[in-house]
Amino acid sequence: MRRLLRSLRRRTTLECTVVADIVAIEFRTKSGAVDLRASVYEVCSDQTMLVRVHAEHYASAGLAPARGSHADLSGLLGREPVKTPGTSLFSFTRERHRELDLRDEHELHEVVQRLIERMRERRVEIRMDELREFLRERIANKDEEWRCFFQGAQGERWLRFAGVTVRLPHDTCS
Amino acid sequence: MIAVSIADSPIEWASSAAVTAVQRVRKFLDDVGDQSRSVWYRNGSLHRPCEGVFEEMAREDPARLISMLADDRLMPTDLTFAAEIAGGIADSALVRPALLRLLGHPSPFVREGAIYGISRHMTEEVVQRLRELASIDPSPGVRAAAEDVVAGQ
Repeated sequence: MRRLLRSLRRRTTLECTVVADIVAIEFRTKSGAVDLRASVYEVCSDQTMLVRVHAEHYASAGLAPARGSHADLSGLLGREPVKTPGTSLFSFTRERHRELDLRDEHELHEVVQRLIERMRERRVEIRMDELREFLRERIANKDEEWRCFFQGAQGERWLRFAGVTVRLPHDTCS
Repeated sequence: MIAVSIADSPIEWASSAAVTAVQRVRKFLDDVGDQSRSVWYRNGSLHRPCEGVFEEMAREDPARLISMLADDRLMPTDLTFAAEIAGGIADSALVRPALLRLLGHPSPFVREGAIYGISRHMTEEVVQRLRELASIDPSPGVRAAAEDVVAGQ
């Protein structure tokens, strides 16, 4: 089954039933405008894929490793999202990045209202142990993209989270 | 004899009057902004509260951002981001008391934002407060956020 995953800024959004509040928290740009081109990731509902999207999204956004809350927006808009490359550090999430193509704020409110009505089945939560296991698997398989990420500014924090104390050697990452 | 200071020329007088008028307008807009939840005047233009403005304030006028956290005039949906962004201010003595207070805010959005903000200013007191939130906060999202920060210590 296909999912359109929207990474949530606040976990407390999952408890909210006020459309305007969810729009204000989750669908605004940095400059305060309503985001009618909100980013989502199109993935299958396999949990491994969902954990991967979560890990890559958080790492690319400069966030600390943490459990995460996402909302599945698939089917709520009634038309396909637009394929765009996104800015992820990882090719998998760049490839699966999409943007909603909302006509106006009213249509966004309708989508959020439908989400609230189905929130129970639409919430996607990633646990800490799932994230840790995913990172360990990437390290064990010498994943090149993650190796480069671990050498960056946030790398040590993520390695510590994964339970790896030795930093990878500095070399071929550009 | 009464000494009266007046401008030497009509041009100077007009210029002086214009400056005074601009200052009055700025003061008025500042007051309006301070009294409004949705807009305020800053750096020559009107702003709606948003992350970009909070980030600019954290860099250029951190004391004002902290005072905004304290006066509760922002909507919870803005205050949550202001609190998180205030966490980036280096002066812990300035930031920590304001964010500790927001950990008790009625809105779960705000408490969650304050948790992310204060996670960069940890002390034993903060850890203790976050442990309390992780165990007794009525919001599952707030409990999870507090747990994560404590676990990351």
